[in-house]
Amino acid sequence: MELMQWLALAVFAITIVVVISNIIDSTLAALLGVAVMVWAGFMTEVEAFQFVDWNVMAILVGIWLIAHYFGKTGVPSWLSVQALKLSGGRPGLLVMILAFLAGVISMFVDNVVTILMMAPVALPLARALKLSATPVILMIGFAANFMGTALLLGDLPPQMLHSVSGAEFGDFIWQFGRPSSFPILVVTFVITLAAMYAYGFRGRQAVSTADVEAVKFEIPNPLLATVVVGWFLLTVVAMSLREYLGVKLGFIAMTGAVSLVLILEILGDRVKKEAGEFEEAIQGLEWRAIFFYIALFALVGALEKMKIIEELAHVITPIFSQNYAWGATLLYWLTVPIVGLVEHDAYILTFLYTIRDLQSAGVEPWPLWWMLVWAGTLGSNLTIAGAPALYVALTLCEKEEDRKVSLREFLSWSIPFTLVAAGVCYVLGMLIWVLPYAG
Amino acid sequence: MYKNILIPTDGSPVSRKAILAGVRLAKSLGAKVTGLFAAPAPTPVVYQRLMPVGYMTPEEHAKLIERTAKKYLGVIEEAAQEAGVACEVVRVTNDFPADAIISVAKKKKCDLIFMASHGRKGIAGVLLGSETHKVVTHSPIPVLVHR
Repeated sequence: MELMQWLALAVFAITIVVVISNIIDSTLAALLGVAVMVWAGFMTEVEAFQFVDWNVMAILVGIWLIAHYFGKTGVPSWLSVQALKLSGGRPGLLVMILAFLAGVISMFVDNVVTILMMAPVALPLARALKLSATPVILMIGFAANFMGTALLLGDLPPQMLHSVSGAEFGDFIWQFGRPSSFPILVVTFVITLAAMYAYGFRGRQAVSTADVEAVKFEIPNPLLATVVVGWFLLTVVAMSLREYLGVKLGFIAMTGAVSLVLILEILGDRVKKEAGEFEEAIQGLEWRAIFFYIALFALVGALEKMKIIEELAHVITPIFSQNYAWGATLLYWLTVPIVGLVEHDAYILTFLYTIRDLQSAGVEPWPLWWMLVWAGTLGSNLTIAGAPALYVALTLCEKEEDRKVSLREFLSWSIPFTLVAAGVCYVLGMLIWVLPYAG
Repeated sequence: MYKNILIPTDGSPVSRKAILAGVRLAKSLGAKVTGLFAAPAPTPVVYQRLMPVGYMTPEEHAKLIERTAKKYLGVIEEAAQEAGVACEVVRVTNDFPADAIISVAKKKKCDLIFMASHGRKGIAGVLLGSETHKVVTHSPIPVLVHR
């Protein structure tokens, strides 16, 4: 590599270290990193802007806006109460159903938003069933984080995969005649929940059915709930038909969001009390995360422009061309702990580009892309450093229980969850994706 | 001078000595004692310091913690009863004993914390530090360290 490439790599590395160490605000650090890249001449300010995948940013903002209104409908709370009824007052079963529910919601809604939607109801339910809040909220956090990658909408890594590889909505369900992200992660999720039930939730005393029946919740505004849920589903269906509609996913998400706001404005006072003002929805967006992701795309774009990713691909090509299965295994099991300890979006985006560049050496990218995205998501459940959703979950636990949750308490739940999930997904990924291409 | 003395215990022989001394001090001052045991959360993994040493269901672990708390706090209750000192015992879930001691001292309006001097020894002491030292450093109320 040349001197300029080393310097660009150093700026990138220092930026990521500052982001991870939280010496200054991580978003500010990432934006400063972009500024240094521009002033140092590694890219122009126009290129920095062009490197950002605005389609992905539009998906994020659009879905977050719709999710904001979804949270106002009371549907997650209503579903949680139904989970209690379904559990028949058995605490262990309730936690599993709540975790499953969180997983399903997070396939369409941001992970942090999912936790914030479910926690207000899960906490009183945990109290009613005499459960400690920490394992309940952590399970919801792990589940939300886990299933965000099952479909294209729930998390940034699948959207980055869409950006780099062109994976469509349907590709997350079935691709090249084999099951892909959704079926594989659902099977992994169910097995992981069953294992976690056996590990930490079996044999708990059920509460009386009278106590269960006493918990009631009604949707505060059925009209708002119908409109928002209906429009959300319609937007998801439209996104799944993107290829036929011939427009970008971000445009569909933004159209869904803006038209939903318009409908709610037209309905006026009939929904205003529960839905709130549009300004509130805008203010509620995770602006720090949005600017962080923008900066991340620009930073990785600079690496791409300086041909550093090409160099990285060149260096690791022999690993995959000599023994594809071993290379995929190495990629998977190195990714799991790395994303558990560092900010995972930068890592995943860098390697998505690297795998794309492996194609020129004749290395099949798809199994590697899937293994990377799955390991990147499942591994991020290891510590709170890997996933903002877990930080939020932990904060809620500490507030509820009025005590600090120690690292060893956190790890006693996160390590078994991550190991089972990563192990099952690895076996499925190898059997369904890697080994058929390894021959 | 002091009306409510907080005596934390971890069940060790040195904390037993501190309990006896603390109760004697309370008797001489006409104060009551508040006994405290801070236990870890009942997770499936059972730890000894930093090392995982076993597995049990959280319910079994909770029962074990309850039995341990009863045993350790029972020493304080017994000592207070023998000395004719009013006594209240508190069991909290907290993996950070120093935090728990300071928090309970505030909640129970204790005006003195009476605790054993020893901390962890060896590598555990280096890694985790002494709880007594943390309490002495951060407590807003007087701390009497018993040797």
